[in-house]
Amino acid sequence: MRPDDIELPRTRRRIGKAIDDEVQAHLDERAAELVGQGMSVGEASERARREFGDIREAREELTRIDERAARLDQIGEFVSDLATDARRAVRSLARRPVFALTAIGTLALGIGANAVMFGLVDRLLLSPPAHVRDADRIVRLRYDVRNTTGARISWVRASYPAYQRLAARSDLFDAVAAYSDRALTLAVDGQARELAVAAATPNYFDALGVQPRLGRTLRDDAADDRAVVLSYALWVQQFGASENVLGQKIQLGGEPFTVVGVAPLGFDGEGGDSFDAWIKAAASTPTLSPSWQNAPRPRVVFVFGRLRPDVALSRATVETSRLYRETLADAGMADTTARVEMRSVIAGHDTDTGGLTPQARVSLWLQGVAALVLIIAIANVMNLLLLRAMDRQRETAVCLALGISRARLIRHLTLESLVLALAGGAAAVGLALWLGPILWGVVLPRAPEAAEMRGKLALVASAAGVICAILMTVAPAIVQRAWSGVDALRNGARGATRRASAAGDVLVIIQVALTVVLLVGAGLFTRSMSRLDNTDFGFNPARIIGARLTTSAAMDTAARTALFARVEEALRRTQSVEAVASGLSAPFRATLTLPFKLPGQDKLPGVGSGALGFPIAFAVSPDFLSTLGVGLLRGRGLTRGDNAGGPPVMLIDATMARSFWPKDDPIGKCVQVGADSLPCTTIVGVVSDTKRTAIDQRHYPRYYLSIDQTAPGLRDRYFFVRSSRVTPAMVDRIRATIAATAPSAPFVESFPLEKLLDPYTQQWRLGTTAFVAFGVLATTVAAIGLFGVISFGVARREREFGIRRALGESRGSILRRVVASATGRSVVGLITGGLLAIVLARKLHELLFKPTTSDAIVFVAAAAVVLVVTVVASAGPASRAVRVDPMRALRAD
Amino acid sequence: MTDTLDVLRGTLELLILKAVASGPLHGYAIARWVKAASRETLDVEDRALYIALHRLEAKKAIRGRWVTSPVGRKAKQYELTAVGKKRLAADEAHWQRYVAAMAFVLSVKPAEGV
Repeated sequence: MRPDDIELPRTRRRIGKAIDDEVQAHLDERAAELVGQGMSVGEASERARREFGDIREAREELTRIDERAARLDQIGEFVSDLATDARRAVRSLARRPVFALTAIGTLALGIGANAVMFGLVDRLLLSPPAHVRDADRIVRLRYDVRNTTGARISWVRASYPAYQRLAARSDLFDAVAAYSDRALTLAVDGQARELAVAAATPNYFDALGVQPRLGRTLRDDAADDRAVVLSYALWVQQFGASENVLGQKIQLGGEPFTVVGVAPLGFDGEGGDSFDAWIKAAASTPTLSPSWQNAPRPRVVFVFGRLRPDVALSRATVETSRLYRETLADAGMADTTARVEMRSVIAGHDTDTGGLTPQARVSLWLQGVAALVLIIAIANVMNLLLLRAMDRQRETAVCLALGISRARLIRHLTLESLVLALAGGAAAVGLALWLGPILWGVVLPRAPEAAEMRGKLALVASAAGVICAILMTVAPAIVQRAWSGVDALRNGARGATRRASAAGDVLVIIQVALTVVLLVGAGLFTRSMSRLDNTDFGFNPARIIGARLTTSAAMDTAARTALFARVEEALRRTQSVEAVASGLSAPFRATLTLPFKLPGQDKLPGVGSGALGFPIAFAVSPDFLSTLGVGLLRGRGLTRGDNAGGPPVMLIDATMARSFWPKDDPIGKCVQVGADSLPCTTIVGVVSDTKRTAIDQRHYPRYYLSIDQTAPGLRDRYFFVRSSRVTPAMVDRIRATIAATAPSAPFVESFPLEKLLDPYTQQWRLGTTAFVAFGVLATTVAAIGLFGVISFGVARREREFGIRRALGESRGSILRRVVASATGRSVVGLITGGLLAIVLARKLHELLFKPTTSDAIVFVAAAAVVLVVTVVASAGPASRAVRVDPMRALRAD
Repeated sequence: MTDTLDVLRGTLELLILKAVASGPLHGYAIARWVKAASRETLDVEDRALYIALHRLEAKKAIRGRWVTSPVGRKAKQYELTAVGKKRLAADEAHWQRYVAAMAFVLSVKPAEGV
């Protein structure tokens, strides 16, 4: 016996036939046997059927069994085919590691960049402060009022009576809470550290809906006047996350407090601030003046409220404004134009402008940029896939001719795309988890919780990976349309590729265009950053180390003055120190504003409108200006003789001299600084201008008072050290020197003065870094894409080049042909991208630092980079085209 | 044929596996083998035999294949697969233990029980 060779697929009809045949064969054999035993044919057949049983019922049963088995087999085959194909796809990718790694790397960077940026945007724009319940109903109050000069100004704080009036309106708010921020020194085990403390109304946590991590929150009970709730971070850092902390006594601002609770991880205030601890705002709260709850002073507490769900924001605003005006009138500060504004506590909403913060806006841009990079990456991988598919055109044609199903081939290609996308996605998750926290650390004021962000990141990266996979399966579909099997067999690699190759061209043009856009963005931000870095502050902050010393509250004035002098002397003796000065405030940091009146004038000329701001006071030691390197223009500087015994004197900056005394010499003029009861202060010199920040639109004129003639009792003193070496070690040494000289001081810090600029320059730094990184990334990816397309084009035209060479065309001419065809695509991309960039650059302007028309150079530079990249990318393929052997090319196929 | 036994439910599959263990057989041959090997004691109903054959085939214990005999007759032959071999070994062992246990139980005299 020999088996019948071909097993046909089991269709319903074939299954029925096979069963009939099998049963019939059985009956025939039995009948034949019976006939052999002497039975008549008819009888034998009848007997065989009877012995068999119910044939019809048997056939039905057998059919049911076989059909079910056939169905299961089909599913099993499909799965095993799929597994085989997937393995084949992986193997086939592994055989071309350069291709596979390029594709996976490109995707990983594209997807990773998106995930990281999403994390940032999510944090800056979408996420409410951690742990706050229904944050969209929490509003921060701001107060728009008229100041004494009549200009509109915006206050972030209100008086306590204003808060009380509001808190009584339960028809508007479910809860209203208030707090004041304090810097209090924490003393634990002989160590001291300054804490940002909120002195809050007891309902603070309840109003936000924040549950404590440990213990409880504050209570409206006099027993809680010395209770403190710690932030999670402080609990971990200072108390080792021990649960025994509850009930522990700590020294806060020199007074004993009892720890009653710990806030949950990640909660450090309802927005903007970063509190280490919360205490109850009680009459006896340290550093609050005893009368603060009754004082009409308009700027004492921050107020926020939880709007009732049934109250519209507009109505609440109108009502709250009315209440606020009543409070002002009660305090004798009637202002009929005063208004209250309600601001969201959701991060990224700028409480100053009502719009988005600069960081948030830059982040949004970068999210867009990241999306562009991803599009470029996907376009590139699709391109690579197309090229590879065309490369294998003949192989494919043979497969088709041999009867391997087209669907199976497409499935193979689709699986390759899928494997690439999944591998890219997986690599992207890793990349995002690694890079994300680094970037956020730079950009976000408060680092997000790692665990929570990791989950979101992985989710976003995976989702992006899936979207890539879907998009990339489009590539095989294009290939399928390009396949007409017979044609490909007949024409070798040259036929039937036009459609796929046109798709490749479009992808390259898109890549080039988007690359141009990114390069322009990178260029604009880089120029903006360099302008920022070259800002002339009027002195060189890079060479200055600042330090702050907080003395013990118990110290008397004479001892304090002596201590400050000793510190200054000790610093002067420190190695590498060139000059030392001291002051009550630091440039770039907090500013001191005192009443400032010119004799016989109601208003300061030009102040409050246009380019001039209200004068800023600096109370400094005589060496301050020389230490910072601010030049004296006229008159004399401050001297040791300008002390409490002498007449009050000051220096003013050039802008003030020019603005307030446009005609005459300011030297010798006397200005009323501070309370009217004080003697006026005589101007003795004019110094050059300095700036507070790089970005101020208006200039705030400076004047410098002698520190020995101002408030001697203040606990804090800033020191400024000019050094040839502003290194971390040096910064540390300055702190150590001060701490050694003032061992009982509760708080000493030191910092490079430039560091104080960071908050002002952060948005540009972020924009510049990210745009440049994305620009380089996009350029690289686009270059790979160009290289692939040109390479393939050359391979396709190999025979043409051979013929041309055979007909005597020079190598140079062929070289030009290849480069020209590459450049052609780039130029189309350049023009498209250039137009797009012009439109987008206009939108980007608001985020740039002093953009100028000379930024047009950036467009030229971007175009140049793209052209150079094009030529470089076409160099390899072009040299291959030149080396084509005419005879071999003609003999091919 | 009056003293033949009907094949117990569940043992038919074991019989089939045993039948094809020594080489491929078609349905009719299997029926004859069972009868012959059991010294004519066991009689398999044809209908039940084929249903069992197809069930075993669906379970991949045996594989059916159409063959043409030298005389030109077509028949569906069944052969034991790897799955079938394992199953046969397991069922055989199980059956031996079962028979031994049954034999022991039935040999116990009622007085010794309880």
